Amino acid sequence: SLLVKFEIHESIIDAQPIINNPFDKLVNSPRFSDIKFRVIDSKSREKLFYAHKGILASSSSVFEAMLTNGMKETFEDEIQLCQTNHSAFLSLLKFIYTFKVNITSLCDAENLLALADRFAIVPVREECLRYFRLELNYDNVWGIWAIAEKYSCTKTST
Amino acid sequence: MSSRKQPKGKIRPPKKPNSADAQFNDNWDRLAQAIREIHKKNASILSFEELYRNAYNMVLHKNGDKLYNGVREVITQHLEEVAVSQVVPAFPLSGASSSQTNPNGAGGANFLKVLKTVWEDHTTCMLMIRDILMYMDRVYAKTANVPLVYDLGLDLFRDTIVRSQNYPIQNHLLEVLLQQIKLERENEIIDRTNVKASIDMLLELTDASTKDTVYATDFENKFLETSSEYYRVEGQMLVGEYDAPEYMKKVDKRLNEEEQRVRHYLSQTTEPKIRNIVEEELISKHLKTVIEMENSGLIPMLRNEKMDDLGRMYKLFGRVVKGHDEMKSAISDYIRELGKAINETVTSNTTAEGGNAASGDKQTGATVAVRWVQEVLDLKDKFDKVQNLALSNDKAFQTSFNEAFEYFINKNSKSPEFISLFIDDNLKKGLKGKTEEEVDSVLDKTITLFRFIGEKDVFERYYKQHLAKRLLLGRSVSDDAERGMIGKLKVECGYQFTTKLEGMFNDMRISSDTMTDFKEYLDKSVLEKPKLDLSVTVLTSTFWPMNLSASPRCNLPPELTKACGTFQNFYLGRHSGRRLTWQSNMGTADIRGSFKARKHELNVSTYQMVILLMFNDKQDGESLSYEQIKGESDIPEADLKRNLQSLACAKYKILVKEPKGKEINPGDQFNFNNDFTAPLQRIKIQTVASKVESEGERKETREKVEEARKHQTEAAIVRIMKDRKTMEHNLLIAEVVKQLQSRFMPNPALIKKRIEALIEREYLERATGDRRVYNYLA
Repeated sequence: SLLVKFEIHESIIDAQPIINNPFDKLVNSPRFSDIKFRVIDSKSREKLFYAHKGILASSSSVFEAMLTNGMKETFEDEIQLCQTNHSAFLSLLKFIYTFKVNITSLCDAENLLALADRFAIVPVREECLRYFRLELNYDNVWGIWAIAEKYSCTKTST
Repeated sequence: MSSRKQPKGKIRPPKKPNSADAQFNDNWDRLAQAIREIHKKNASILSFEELYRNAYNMVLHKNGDKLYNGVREVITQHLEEVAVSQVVPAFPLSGASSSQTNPNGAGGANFLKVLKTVWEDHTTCMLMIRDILMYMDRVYAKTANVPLVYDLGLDLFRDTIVRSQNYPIQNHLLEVLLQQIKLERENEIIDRTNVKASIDMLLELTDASTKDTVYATDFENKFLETSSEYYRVEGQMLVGEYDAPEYMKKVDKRLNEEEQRVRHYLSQTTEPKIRNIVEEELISKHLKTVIEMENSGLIPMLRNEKMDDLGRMYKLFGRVVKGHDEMKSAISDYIRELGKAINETVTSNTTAEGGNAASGDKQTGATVAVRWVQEVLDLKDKFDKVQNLALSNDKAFQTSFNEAFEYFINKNSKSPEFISLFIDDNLKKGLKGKTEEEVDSVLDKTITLFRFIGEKDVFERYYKQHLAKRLLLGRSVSDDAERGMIGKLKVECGYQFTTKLEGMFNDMRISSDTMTDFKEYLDKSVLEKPKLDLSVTVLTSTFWPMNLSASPRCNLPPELTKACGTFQNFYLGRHSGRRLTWQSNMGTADIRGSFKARKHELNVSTYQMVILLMFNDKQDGESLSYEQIKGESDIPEADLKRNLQSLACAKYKILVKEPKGKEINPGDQFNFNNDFTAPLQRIKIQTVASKVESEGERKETREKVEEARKHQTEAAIVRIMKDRKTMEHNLLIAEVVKQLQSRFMPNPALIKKRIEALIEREYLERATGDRRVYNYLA
């Protein structure tokens, strides 16, 4: 009788090219920057950040309005942001340029949440609230509840 | 640059309501002030960041409702001010009668301009306010289920300005808009941008209760009403003042204008509505009037072949429901009328010639037929052209035209004969003047007329007769043309229709072969050769139009009888079981006549030859009476008269008749005309052929056709019943009609009679249960 032998060769998987986010190096960089932010925190400390109008306006409708709607900021190249936490602002910029967000503490999360909510950057807001839900325990439950209430997140507050 | 810091410290969750309220009031004052600055167009000195953060904080501290209501108040206040200070002062001078005092509508235009500015300012401000209150929109408006702040602005504008309770702004606005449109309709130049701005404004505002645009609720109906009225008046005026083509041009222009107007400054949703109004008022209502306009309506357009006008009418009237129907019926009535006129000239001609026809002037009979067909063809050409150039080859029109043609063509009971004669005329001598292509195209057209004939079987009968004459008398100019024609008929009516016609051709071919064989046979045979050249055409009796039962009698001269006998022996020796009957009424002969002046070769019919040969035995001057000739030759009376006529009364007078006259009567005497002269040596004596049939012949043809129809109907019934075995009466009738209508239109009474005949002959029986059902008996 005839014996037929099958051999199956594993096909080489056509892998996707690895994409390195090219905007990493633009975060808070004066290169090509066309807008500066003088960020003043609640303790009146000032810090200067570099940014790019196109990128900001694309990711946040608030920035877009701020940069285009014909009020004072439209015509300036340095904008003052009051009551804004420096490190939270940097985190926000990082997310805007790289789509990555890295939260390390509840305190971070609260500050970042405030900014994300204010500038209408929804993914960051959601990520912060998720972080709260993960970190929830007996000690911080009331604090987190207050925050969730404040930023109108029923999912976290219940 | 303002780098001034806010005096507030950090924002902390408020501990005491009092301090929160104070803070809110403080923040709100700034915000309200900022909005006022925006209204004063001072936005560029304001800090977006600060205002946004302010509003953000208010909403964050659950003061969204206070903020929202505050904003509403500030905007309302501002709009009230605008109404008083800008809009009201711009009212056109004297309200209702403004069109009189202000013929150019300048006041109105100015009013629209002001309104445009006010609207633009409002929307610009609202965009900025929306931006700084973005957080309120996003967080508060959604949960509180109130309109977004920009929409709030639109609603406020609607209620405070457009539908102001305090000032008649709305009345003025609508009136001015309608007035501007009216001015434009009357060919004034208006500033469309201002009108468009107002219309756009109305389109952007929404009516709270209907959820429709304010344009739709407040403006559109009024616009349509005034337009309807306007065009009602205009329609009456135009119909009275202009002729049809001008009227249609005006309507066309109006339709265009309204379309342009909608496209330029109204809403697209209005387009079908205003179109309907113009169509209703200017087309539907005056449809008949325009069609029937004397000297310029539809019929005059057709008469004068005004293709552009017809085309315009077709396009315009196609817009309304009844338009094309009205046109169609008017045109087909016209065709019927023209067709009737053509039919009438023909009948009046034939009756006028009634006397002549009998006297042998049959040539005109044929020309009447040819003229009739030619006129019908011309009419057809004319309407084909109309159809092509003006009616975009509309199928519905084509159908209605065809019906009209069919109607009047079948009104003329002679049309099958006429059409066959027309074809005869073209195939006989047509080729002389025309190229083959021309003849072909004429015949193609004739086929279109043939299509209209209801009684195709009658046509077939005539066609066979005419074809037989062409073939036997060698008058057909081209075999190809004949075959081409038969091909066309085959395409129209199928194989069955033309088998016999093709059989006739076949007979001709076989006969010529037979004659060759016959000559050979004579050469070889020991028999005495006939003293004349005999040429025989053997015709299959079923193919040819012959009357076997009444086979024409005729005493042939002995020489000829002998020659015929020889052929008969030859032929029957080759084909056993056949019967030959001599059709002496169809043949021709070449004879040589010696006259005083010279000898002539005469080409005559067999009968004429028989008659002339009788005079061979007579002395000069000796005459023969009609009765003598009749008795000796035994030629049937009608044929005899006709042939004597052609010899004694036509162009070449070989015989002299006493008394002279055009008619042959019993008692007439005939003499051989020894003094006969003619320029040609070879002479063809035309038999006065009955081109158009005389009444008697027509009746005979009719009877034959009826007889044939009986057979065809019976055959159809049997065919159907054999297939179905059992069938209900009405269904059977319908099926028979369906099968036969390509040849003729059988009437149900005829079919019923045939069914009864078949029952009698036991092909069918009535079903025992139901008398209306038939069974097939195998």
